[in-house]
Amino acid sequence: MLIRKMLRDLRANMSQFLAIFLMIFLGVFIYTGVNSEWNGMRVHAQKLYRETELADVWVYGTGFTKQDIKQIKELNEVTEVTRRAVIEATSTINKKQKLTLYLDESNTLSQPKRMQGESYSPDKDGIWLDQVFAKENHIRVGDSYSLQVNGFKITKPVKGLILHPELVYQNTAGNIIPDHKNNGYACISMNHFTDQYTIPYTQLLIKTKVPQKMEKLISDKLQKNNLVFMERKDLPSYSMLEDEITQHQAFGEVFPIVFLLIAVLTTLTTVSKMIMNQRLLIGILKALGFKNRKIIFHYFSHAMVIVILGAILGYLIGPLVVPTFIYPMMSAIYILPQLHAVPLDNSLYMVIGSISICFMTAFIVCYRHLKEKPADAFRSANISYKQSHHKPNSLIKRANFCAQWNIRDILRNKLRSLIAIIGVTGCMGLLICAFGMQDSMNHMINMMFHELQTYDMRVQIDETADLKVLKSKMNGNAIQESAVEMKFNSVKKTGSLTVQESTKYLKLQNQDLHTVSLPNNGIALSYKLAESFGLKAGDSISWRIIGSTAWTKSKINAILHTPSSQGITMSANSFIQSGHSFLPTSVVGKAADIKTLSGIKNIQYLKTDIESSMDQMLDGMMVMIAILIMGAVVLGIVVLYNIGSFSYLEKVRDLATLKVLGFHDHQVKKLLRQQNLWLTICGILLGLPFGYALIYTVISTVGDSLDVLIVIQPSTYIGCSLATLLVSALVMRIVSRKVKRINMVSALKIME
Amino acid sequence: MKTIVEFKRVCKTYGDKENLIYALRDVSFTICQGEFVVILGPSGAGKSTLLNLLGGMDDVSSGTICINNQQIEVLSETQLADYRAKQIGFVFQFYNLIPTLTAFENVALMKELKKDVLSAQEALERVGLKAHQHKFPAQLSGGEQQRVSIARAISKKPALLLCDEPTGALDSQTGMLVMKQLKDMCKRYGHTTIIVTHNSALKNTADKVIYVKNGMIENVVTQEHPCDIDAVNW
Repeated sequence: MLIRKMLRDLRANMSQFLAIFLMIFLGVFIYTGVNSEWNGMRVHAQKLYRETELADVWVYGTGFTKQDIKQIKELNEVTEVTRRAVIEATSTINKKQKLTLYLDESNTLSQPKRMQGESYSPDKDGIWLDQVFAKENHIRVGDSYSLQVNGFKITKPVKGLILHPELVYQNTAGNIIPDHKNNGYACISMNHFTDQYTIPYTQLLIKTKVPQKMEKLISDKLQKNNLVFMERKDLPSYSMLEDEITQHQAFGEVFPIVFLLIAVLTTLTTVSKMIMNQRLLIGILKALGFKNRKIIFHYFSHAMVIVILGAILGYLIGPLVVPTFIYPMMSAIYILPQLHAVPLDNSLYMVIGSISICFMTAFIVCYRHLKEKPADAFRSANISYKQSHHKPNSLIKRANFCAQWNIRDILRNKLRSLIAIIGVTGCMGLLICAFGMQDSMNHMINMMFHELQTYDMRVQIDETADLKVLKSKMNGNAIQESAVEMKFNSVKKTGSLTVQESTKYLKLQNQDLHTVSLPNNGIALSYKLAESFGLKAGDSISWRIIGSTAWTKSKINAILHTPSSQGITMSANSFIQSGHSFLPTSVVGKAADIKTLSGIKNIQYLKTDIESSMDQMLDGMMVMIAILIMGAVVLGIVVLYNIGSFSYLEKVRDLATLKVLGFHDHQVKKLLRQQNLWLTICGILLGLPFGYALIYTVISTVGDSLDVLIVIQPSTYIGCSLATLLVSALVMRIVSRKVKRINMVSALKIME
Repeated sequence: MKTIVEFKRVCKTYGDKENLIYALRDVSFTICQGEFVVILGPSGAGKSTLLNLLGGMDDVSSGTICINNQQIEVLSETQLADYRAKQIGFVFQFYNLIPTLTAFENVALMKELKKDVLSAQEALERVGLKAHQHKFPAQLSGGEQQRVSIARAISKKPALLLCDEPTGALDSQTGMLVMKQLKDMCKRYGHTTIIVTHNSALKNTADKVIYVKNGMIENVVTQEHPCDIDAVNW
């Protein structure tokens, strides 16, 4: 019988219980959905790394001999070592298409994973192509493919399509989104590469349990001091994906908290309200002889049923739905052999934990209200309003009736008001986060492509190019780009080095976004690196170009804000002064017809090639923003509707009285609206810093390579505030519509 | 004396054509200015319907109602709200004070509805509750709450004071006090007062008694010399 009563109670308090349900559902949905999404990425990435024996340490040098390998193998800490050469090649058909060639000696570490065709083997002749590159360029297994390498033409049959475990994420200069049509990689066995000339093995791949010790051990063993070491955690492909996963993890942990908090608070108000309303009934049940335990369980079970239902649905549906939104966007950036959601092992415990919190809340409320004697329940059943002993202060006295009413109502229902404020704060915060992220991204793109980079065309050249002709044709500047290793207080980091002749096409800005000139001597360091080293302008840092032995110590003359790559920027003069020779790798300048010139490796157009790949990334971002906006609106509507109808139900008798006394509908509605407006404004004001904090949390997880400034336009603040007000006004319109339907006659007869 | 209430062949029905239920059938009566009227009848007789019609909270099915020279069955929702605000003072069985406002504020609330009102202070003084004016309803006894409710009603200087079982929730002693107050006000300040009750003990105190039964007026008795409230045997 009590179950039947429970079902009817649930129906009678539908909007409140629906709110609990939705909040629990959304909290668990986002939590398990996002967690299974990033966990799926991590599990599949790790599976790939394991299967393909991804190396733990990479050593770069000028040439490694068989003797070197033998010596390293003698080290107890090293389980496996192999060497390879990595060189750049260009498609003979389309010069824009660049391929990184991996020429392995053996296939023991960082093995290319076969996706189609034959497995890679160092004994077989042929070329194994990047599967995405092949797909983009319609190359099939069995076709023959020609490459231009160091002036030689090589043609090989395509034996298979592969995925290289070091290239889950392909970093192509200047682009965040990989351009798979023009950038790819290929594997060819060194044994079958070419007889025409020898290529030195420039890389060692090492498998070890102690990667951090390798630098000292190997340098000592080989007696070489020009080696550059990179651990797996610094491998761009690996670290980018890990950063991405960490970012999603943060997202999946921060956002559900808002919903779960609301769920707990809503449970608290709903259960206590229901019990308050049914005190007389509880007294009757007690008088009839029902045990306290049974009654407590009865009321507790209301919340229990709803919470469990919401949690189970969220737990089941989250992993099905969330990844389908995020994976398409992820697979545009990261290439994994397979990608599907894998629920986190401990997510069930977390879900149970959050359900338990709701349970505890419901239980405590039930217990507190139900432990009294039956007679007390009868006695107090007639007092539905808490007694108030505070003297009206002068502020309240001076306010008009509407304000008086609402101030008192808020003071008497602090918890309810708090929930409303938290709900609006959440709604506003999510909106600010969504649109602020968009603003920040737009700002970054605008800065990168309109303020910092002002060239039309970037031409990559080799040493055979005629720099003078090229520069005059393009009215351009030569730049040298390479990888650089930096050292300060025994902390080493790698980054990019950009040496430029002037700032004509590549402008520089500091962290305050003021244009700075290229320091004539010394170097300029990017902000993120300076921060991680703990360096400021005026300090000195040691650096060397990867592959060279000598360290150069330079004074940092400027700290730069560089959105997409972190490292050292310096003038050609300063570079030469510090004892290096300036060997340009690219020319940037105006668009010109230079196709006939020799020594050109690649041509990129800023507007069409680079910016469009950014836009693609932004499209992916829009999905995330849309999810946030949806979450915000649902949160706002559910909380405000719930709280609104709650306070309406509580006041219906008073409102009816006002109507009988002669108040017009619009005056009565104004009462409800005013309170709602106040709470909404409080929520909006709190939502501003909350939104900023959310963006800060999300952006601080983007990793070391990106330096995204948080930029929130004033229009975003205004727009989000207005949108929140609009949501609040709409909900209030729906709630206050009930005022018209108040039955004055019957409302006056209700006596609880 | 001026007629202030006039019911002419008023019918109030519920349900559809096949299942027509008459709450009021052909009700006609008049009430003059300043009269102290008791509408008496058993439960379900139609008393409350009568009061709701008087208060402009319900519409008639047929017939006309004229209050203070104004036909009210033709008024719109908004006009009815105005009518309630300007012409009618209500005293409810369960007081219906706003729990979040003090006694004083509950009465002062009427300033929002009408310009020409008694000050809250004066209204509370008239019901003898000046000392309790800053208490909240929950801090007052039932009788006191009902007196605040009366103060609220009279502060509007209403043409008509409608009381729905005003003593229904009170013990006999307190009820008597409240009735006495209502009658005193009626006589001293000339409010036309209509009391709806099922308590037949009150009938002797009224200038006019309207007996209602089965939705019809059974009898209307005008009493030249109504007795004092103190003389009523509850």
